[in-house]
Amino acid sequence: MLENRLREALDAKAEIYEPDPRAWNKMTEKAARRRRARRFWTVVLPAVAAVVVVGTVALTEGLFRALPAPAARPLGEVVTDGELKLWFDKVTLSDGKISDALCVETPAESRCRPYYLPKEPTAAGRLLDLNKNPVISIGVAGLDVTSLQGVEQSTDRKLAEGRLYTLKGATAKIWVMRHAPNDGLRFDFRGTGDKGYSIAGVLSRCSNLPPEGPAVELGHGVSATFHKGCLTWWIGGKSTNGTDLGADFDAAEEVRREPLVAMGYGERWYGLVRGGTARVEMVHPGGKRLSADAKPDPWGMGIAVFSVPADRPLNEQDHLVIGYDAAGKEIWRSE
Amino acid sequence: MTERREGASLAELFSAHYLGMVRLAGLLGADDPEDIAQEAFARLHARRSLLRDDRAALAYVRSIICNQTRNRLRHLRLARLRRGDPPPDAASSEHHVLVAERHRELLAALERLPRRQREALVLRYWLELSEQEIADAMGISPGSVKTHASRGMAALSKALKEDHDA
Repeated sequence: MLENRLREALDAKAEIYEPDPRAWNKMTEKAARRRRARRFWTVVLPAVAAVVVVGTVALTEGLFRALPAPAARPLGEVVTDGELKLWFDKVTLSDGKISDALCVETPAESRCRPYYLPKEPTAAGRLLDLNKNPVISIGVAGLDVTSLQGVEQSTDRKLAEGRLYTLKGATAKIWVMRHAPNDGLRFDFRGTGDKGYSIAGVLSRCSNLPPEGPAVELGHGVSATFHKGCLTWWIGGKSTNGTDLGADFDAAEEVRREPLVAMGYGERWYGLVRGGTARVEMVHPGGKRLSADAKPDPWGMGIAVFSVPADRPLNEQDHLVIGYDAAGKEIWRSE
Repeated sequence: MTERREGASLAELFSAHYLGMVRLAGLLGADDPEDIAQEAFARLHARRSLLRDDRAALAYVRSIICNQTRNRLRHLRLARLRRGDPPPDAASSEHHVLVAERHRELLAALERLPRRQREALVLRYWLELSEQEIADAMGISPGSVKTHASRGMAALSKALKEDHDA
């Protein structure tokens, strides 16, 4: 019987998890951090509101959600790298959650990127590229990371050296690397105990490619282009950096498993849904319904794209989202 | 005095149920089940009033585990869309070795289910919770639990049949 097989399989899988002997200490540390954070936000938030001078909105790159520019006076330590100022902060995501973020200020603009750093030895992530040449790649790395090099993928030849910054009290390091545009560049991080971590430079392929190809108009100021494997969203006439649908993200597989991969930007939601979807309907918790036509499979990849005007931030958990085919039949729902 | 009694109660709950909560998070697909379980108990620590009732406390922890895992999975999905992020955590080779061969096919099919269906099945068939308890943990109605569970079982059955037919 399937139920019994499932019970056995779940029992067998559950057995592989063993607790960390330090779990109780770690939990109590978390509890203490939560108490401190509550006190911090209670005390500091009114002060932050008072010093925010200008609240410009930076269009996100890739498929990031847009976030307001940081406060004019950053909290915590700030490091300077050439013309850049960098610091860690907390930002509120469009779903209301607080996230760790790396903030960067250049003479022209400032922006914050939320991040989640896996709790693994020598973990690292690349959050954004500035400039075209030299490219300034910026990201975060675990505290155990001690060096960073840009290496030619095919020859392992070192092409660039990264700088690492440790900020007082921070739980991660900031890294910056200036390098020539190079699709074959690999970022090699080394940590204590000879642990290592690499990020393939191929991920920059779409960011260095000018957005081209016919635009799929989705309405509400949103369109999408797909060219040389790179998906680029255009929002209010501005382009985001592209996402490599081949290397980064198997979009067709992703929407097959979960029909909705939605993004939010201000009063628009947009994103990918399962191929064949002709209309997407969002049902708010209060029962209000918003819908818009989707493009069922504009690039023959088994993914549809959509944009729906919204009157509140994206929060998948709060919304029922329903997909319909061209005949108006419901073909999926995401709750 | 009350503080000490509640602290002891939290320690007892932790001692008795931490491993189970780690396993629940793992079965739901969490990338870091220990972290999620610790977070859930840390939140319980902040809601000490719940400690007066063990059942309420456990229900609360279970709901945090479900929510946190769901959020983390969504975060990973979004993270995977961002250029430059490290690849999502994959199951370790140890994981593949340790899970018996005869279960792999079924567990793989379970992992492919929509997250609500997977949650309903794990809570029902691993924790043996009632529909109401599952509804509380998932934050949905008991009726929706039935729907998710039956759809999940149907999808599992279909997936296994397709695998055998292939």
